[in-house]
Amino acid sequence: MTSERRRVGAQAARRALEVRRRLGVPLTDPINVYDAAERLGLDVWFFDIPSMEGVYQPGRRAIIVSSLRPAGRQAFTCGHEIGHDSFGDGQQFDELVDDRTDARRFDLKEFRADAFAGELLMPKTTVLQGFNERGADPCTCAPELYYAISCWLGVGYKTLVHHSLKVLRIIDRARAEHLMRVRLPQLRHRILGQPCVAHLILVDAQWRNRSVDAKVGDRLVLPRGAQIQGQCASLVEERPGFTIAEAVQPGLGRTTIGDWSSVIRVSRKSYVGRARFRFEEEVNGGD
Amino acid sequence: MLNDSARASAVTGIPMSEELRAEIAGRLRRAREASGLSQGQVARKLQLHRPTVSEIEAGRRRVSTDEVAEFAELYGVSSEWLMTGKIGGQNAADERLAVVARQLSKMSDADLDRLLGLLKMLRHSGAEDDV
Repeated sequence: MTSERRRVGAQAARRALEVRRRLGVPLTDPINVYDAAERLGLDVWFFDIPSMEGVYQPGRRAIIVSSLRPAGRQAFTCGHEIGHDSFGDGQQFDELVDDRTDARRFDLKEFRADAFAGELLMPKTTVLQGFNERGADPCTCAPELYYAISCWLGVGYKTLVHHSLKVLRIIDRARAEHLMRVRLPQLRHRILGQPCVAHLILVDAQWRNRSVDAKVGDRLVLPRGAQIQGQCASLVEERPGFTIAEAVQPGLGRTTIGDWSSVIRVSRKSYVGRARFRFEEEVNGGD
Repeated sequence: MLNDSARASAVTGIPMSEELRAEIAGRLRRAREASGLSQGQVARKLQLHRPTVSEIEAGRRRVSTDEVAEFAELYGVSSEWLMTGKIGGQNAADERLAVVARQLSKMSDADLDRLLGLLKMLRHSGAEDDV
């Protein structure tokens, strides 16, 4: 990494931590990037254009995120666009990239916005807290633990592995390559013990101060015996170590077991619209 | 094409032509759909009857200036755009975005038009439009 990249990366990290502090999100907690954007006065929209990651429009203080990308990717893109806003970068159009973790032509604003998003979503303290609370060592734990922590942080599995290697430097290259070799369908199969094509959100008892945000059709792996209140999700199956549920319709609910509980918020699949309306319940007789 | 006095009459609540009412109705529908809400959800939020929203979007019921402002607030779009289909101060920025998007992406012209259409309707925050 050149000294210029180091300098810009450090600047972006400081700014992201300032934003977290300003919003009162402790370093022990994951941040919900859409809620953060709204609180910063940004209007986030989802729009169904396949060849775009995101757009930042300063004149309207608007962020547009592709509705056709995976949830973790969307969250990173939104964080990236908040970074553009935070640095007053002006209007930005971010094209579709095959993998954000790939090296791309160095552009200071893009690099800085990526670094900002990484720190906003995955500060070192938060990531290490995620491993510690689950009694896991990032250098030796199973890929399933990385998957669980990536769900908790609201980012993609590969994004977390890449960030752990390149930015946090808590794992070495061989370890990252080992983790990257595991494919997501394979991981879902290992977690559930059967093939699963749906997006899988692994929710454990360490989820505090954050909601379970899902899309219709997503599968939720909940602590064993968890119950669900509300119509947005329903229980599918009880397993020896966990409970499987499915997000079935937009709206709000809650999952509970004993003293633990978490809010569930479900949006339509590939939702198009303002982020603030994504969990609106359907109205009977609506168009 | 409607003239300015026709648009002004719509804004001030003076009876408007059917053509203008239909144009506004079409933009209200587009803005609602872009914002992610159904007619029923809009009716619930604005405490209207659902058929009222439907009638407005069909151009069969007149909307007052206050109602347009309420719709604009809910949808996050510009009242000016809802009334006229135009918005001041953003054309240059949108042109620049179009150039960048064309150069950078594989976005089709149709998708680019849709994206610019969305940007055009969004409410302006009053912030500096620098690029």
